[in-house]
Amino acid sequence: MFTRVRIFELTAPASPQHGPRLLELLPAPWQAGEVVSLPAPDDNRVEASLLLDSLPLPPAGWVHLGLCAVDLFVPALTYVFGASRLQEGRGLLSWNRLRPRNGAGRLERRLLTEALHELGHAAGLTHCSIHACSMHRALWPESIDLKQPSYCPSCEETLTLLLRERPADSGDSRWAP
Amino acid sequence: MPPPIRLLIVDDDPHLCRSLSAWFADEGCYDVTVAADGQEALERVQADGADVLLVDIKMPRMDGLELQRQLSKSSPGTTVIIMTAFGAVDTAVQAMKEGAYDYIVKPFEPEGMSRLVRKAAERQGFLRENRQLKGRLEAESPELITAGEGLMAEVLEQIEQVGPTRANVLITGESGTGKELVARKILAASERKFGPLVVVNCGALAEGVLESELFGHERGAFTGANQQRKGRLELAHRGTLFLDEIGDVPPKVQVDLLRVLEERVLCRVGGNQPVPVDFRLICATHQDLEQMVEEDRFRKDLFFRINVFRIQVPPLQDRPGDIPLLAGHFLQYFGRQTSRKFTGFSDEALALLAAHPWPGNVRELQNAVERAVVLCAGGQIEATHLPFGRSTQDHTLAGIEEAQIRRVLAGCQNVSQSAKILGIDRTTLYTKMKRYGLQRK
Repeated sequence: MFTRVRIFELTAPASPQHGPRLLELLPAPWQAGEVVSLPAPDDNRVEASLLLDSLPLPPAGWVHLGLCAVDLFVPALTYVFGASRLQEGRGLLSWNRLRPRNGAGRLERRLLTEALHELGHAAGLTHCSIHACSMHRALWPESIDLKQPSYCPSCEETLTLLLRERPADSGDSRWAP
Repeated sequence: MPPPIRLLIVDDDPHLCRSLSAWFADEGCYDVTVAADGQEALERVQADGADVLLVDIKMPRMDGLELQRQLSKSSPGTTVIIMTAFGAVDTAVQAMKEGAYDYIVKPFEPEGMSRLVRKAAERQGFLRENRQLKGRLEAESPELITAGEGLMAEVLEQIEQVGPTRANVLITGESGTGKELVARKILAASERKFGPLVVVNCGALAEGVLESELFGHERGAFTGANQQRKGRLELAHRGTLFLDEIGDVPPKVQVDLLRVLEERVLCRVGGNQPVPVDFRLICATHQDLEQMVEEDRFRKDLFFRINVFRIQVPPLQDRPGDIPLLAGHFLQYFGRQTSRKFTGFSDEALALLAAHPWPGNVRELQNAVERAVVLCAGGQIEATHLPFGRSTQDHTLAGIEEAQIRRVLAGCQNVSQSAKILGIDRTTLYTKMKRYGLQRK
């Protein structure tokens, strides 16, 4: 099964490290893998696809999620919360715009919701029309709060099928840079 | 599930096209394609169509402004959103003046862009629905059924001539000849075909009521006027007013109507505030207005105002070619209403229809067919089902006998078989057939 999550912290050592906590919070079918630190990007704004491409492709049975503090954008759009390519097994999430003005608990919930969103894309899920589903597209930070940090029954079912189609865990739990 | 909105992204920057294309494709409700310049976009729209276009301004071959101009001529149904850089807002505003729906400045806020395109798509959906409803309305509107022969050919030609103009039309003809349908046909041929059509039957209303109905009234204008009410003339603004039975309009209302026609403003009953009105007037009457003018029963000046173009609808007996067509149309109509299928009329029934003088014109024919549909148990209308056909209304013994012999003869191969069924000998049957003027099959 393609379910173990490896998080790459693309942040400076002095910045908050959300990876370990996120791994604890991830619900099934995702399984906590490990957190790997990588150098943070030099710029404050980074084109999402470039940073996504800098993440290593995952081995069988694994999915990679980059976690950064810099603002992500794509051509023509001022910002995006995250990026991923369908079924490629890797996704990227920035918590720069997820920080609420008050209430740290909300950041944790937003991070988890959007992490599930990007992991869903990485596994092959597309956007969902159900507003409470984490696969629903959020266009501004507060709209993430309207979603649940979980998949709707339909997305969950599709995700299970998609994960079954992936190659089984090869047993190689270590990521080789 | 509604069909996907066909979104065409037009920009010479392939990164932007790819990025936006992926963004909208993810939404699930868009069918996204891209074009690298205006020329390619124009070709795509002409070949495959598009609902919403996101168009960059500066492009090789054909820029966004020129594309907007070309599309407003060739595909006015498309909605164009201009994508512009911060410094080129003036050009985007120019594009909007030339018909673009809106503009958005690069780089886009995801929320703003998503909302704008969604709104444009919604507008496109409303436009599509509007076109469908208008089409359905046109299809369901009563039609002027005619073979277009003789006098009716002239009427059709006149409708075609006067339809696109703004001229007032006076339709004359006997009651029941279809004057209102002629008016609707004129409306359908006019620029105001999507404007309101307000119909007033002037003969059906008393003077006071007609005045209030036509001109409206202010609150407190008379007992019972609890609130301001717009009149039919005001409701016909930018549309067409059809005054049926104009000959029945009382003298005082004739004066008021003339004033409105001359000044194009009206005052509601009990008010003095002028209200501008813009409507096309079509009047109809079965009366001889010239005669009424001579007898001072109709104002000469009003007559000249309304009689700019005259159409005389001939009575039904002067258009025999229309009778079977109209009868067939009404048969289908009433068949649909009663969920029954009819094959048509028997030769005898058609002959009877053609021979009838139709003093009540098309309305009488319609009623005759409706009655026949009620009486007919089978799939074909027989002469006996028609009100002026013999025997169905004849309750005498001879009448009933004739109807029974006719029915049996129609269902049998020969006279002998009919006689056997009727329980009489062949000679007696021949005698009775001769008496009632019946022919053997």
